[in-house]
Amino acid sequence: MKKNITINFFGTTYAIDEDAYELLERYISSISSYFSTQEGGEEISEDIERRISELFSELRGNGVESIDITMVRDVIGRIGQVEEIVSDASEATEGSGSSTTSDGLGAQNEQDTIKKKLFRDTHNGVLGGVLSGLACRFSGDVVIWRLIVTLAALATAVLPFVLVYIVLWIIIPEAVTEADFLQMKGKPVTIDSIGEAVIDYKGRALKTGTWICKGILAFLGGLLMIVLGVSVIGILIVLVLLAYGWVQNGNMFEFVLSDREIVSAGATVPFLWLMVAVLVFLGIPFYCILHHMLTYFKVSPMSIRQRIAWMVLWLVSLLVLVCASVDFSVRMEKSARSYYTYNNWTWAHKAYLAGCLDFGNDSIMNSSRDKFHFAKEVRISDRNSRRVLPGWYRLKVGAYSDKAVIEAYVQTCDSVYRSTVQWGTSEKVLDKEGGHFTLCGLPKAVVDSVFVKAPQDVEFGLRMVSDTVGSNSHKRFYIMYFGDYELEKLD
Amino acid sequence: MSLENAKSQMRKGMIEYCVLLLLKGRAAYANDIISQLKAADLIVVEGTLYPLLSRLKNDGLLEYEWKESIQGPPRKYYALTKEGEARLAALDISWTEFAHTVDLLKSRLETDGDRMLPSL
Repeated sequence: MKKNITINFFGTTYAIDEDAYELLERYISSISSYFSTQEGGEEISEDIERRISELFSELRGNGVESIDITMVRDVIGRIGQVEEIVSDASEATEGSGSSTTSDGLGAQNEQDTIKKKLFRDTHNGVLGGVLSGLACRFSGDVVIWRLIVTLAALATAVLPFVLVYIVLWIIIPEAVTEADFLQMKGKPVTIDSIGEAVIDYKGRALKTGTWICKGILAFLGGLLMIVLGVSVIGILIVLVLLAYGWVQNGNMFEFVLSDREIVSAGATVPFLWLMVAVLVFLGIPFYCILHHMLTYFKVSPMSIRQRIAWMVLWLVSLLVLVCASVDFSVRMEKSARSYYTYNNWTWAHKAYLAGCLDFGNDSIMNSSRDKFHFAKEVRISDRNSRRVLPGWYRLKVGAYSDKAVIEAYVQTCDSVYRSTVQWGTSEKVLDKEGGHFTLCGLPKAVVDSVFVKAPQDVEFGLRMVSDTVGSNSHKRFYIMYFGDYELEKLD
Repeated sequence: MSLENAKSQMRKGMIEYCVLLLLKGRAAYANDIISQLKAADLIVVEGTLYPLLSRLKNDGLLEYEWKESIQGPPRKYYALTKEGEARLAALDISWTEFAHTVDLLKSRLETDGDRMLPSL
């Protein structure tokens, strides 16, 4: 007993056995898949379907109530099992679908020497079907190809082989339609053989491994698309800004971030070309992945020529980018007025200096809790001599001493800037808080030249200098307190 | 090349001409054309015709119109165009020439017997 279903052919319904239906459906889809590669092919497929419908009507006219599988076989036999259809179709169009050529009187025999086309065999392949496809095109067992290539890769360097494999993966098109697979194997493309190929393929389940691979690739592809897409949009925005003059062209260019921050960079390639190269570099993979996704929606895959063209273009952009070296620096500028404001200071560094005193070669002659006697100039600095970015800083340190000159300095490669305080001086550079001297002035170390060309980091330190170096006992000085120092950065 | 292939090649050469011949002076449905070509042993399989008809139509030699039919959906009704008729006339001439050539060769073979074939 067989299951029976109803089909609709151009508005007329027929009762048909399920197995007959399967065969019919395979036949029809193999026909449309074959002719779909040709211009006007849809019309031909439709005409053939109409003919099938006509034949079914005739059967019904002869009293048949339901179509069974022998009838479908008969119909298929009547309509199409001969190479003539294919060679006629090849004369009609310039499509690449046909694998045979007939040149009139000198025609080659269609049975032999059919030229094989190079495709990636995605049915038999492990990764991308590259080696399987090559094995088909150039004869030989896939296993042998794989062995030789793998051993060669392991014996010499793996990376070139991987790169070549990836390049081949991109360039060689994958076999999609049954006609492709037949051409790949060098079999004649006839309605018959297409039908066989369809049956053959549907009988096999796809390996799970392939699904997992496809899943991972799809996920990574999606992520990549998002990243690339955002970057491409960003570059386009920059290009628009360029057109509007918000961004300058030329080899040295600047972005104004705010009225105090300017990002500047210099490149060996003018800004415009740099942006174009980046756009191409990112845009081509974006477009190619997009196109590949669209092939799942009936868009035909790219031909070998197109693929090679895109790849060449991409490599050119890569070359440009490699050659364009960019020096990048961020400089902060600040108008003179804001120097005096006390807002926006943030801690850059705090240290408890008393624990880091370096006495040099001198011994302490006398010390009690916080008293140090020194006979000579001693440099006191934080053990991790601070390196900071250019900018405005405020240095605070508490010190209490008699007669000592306490100096805070900021050292660049050119000069030392310092502010000094002397006990009892009337020059009030500093604030006096509860017996301490708090250095509150900021050395004008951070000047314009530091921003761009000078070294980008400066060293802060503290130094105690005695005004009388190395003489008799009167010239001792005491530091009662030497506390934390703080380095604040103007935001 | 086997005999079947040789005959197949000959058929392929003639098919376009025969289709145009069949439509001379009268339009016809696809299945009419098929049954006549089959009767004349020119096509073995019906599917051959459809790509051919499509090509002839794309080349402007044929045109069709949809005609309602009593049982079933509308069908294509094919007819020759002006260019089709012109092509048919040209093919008529070519056919006569070919036939003449073959006849000539055959008759010379009969009369000359063992002698070398003359060059044409």
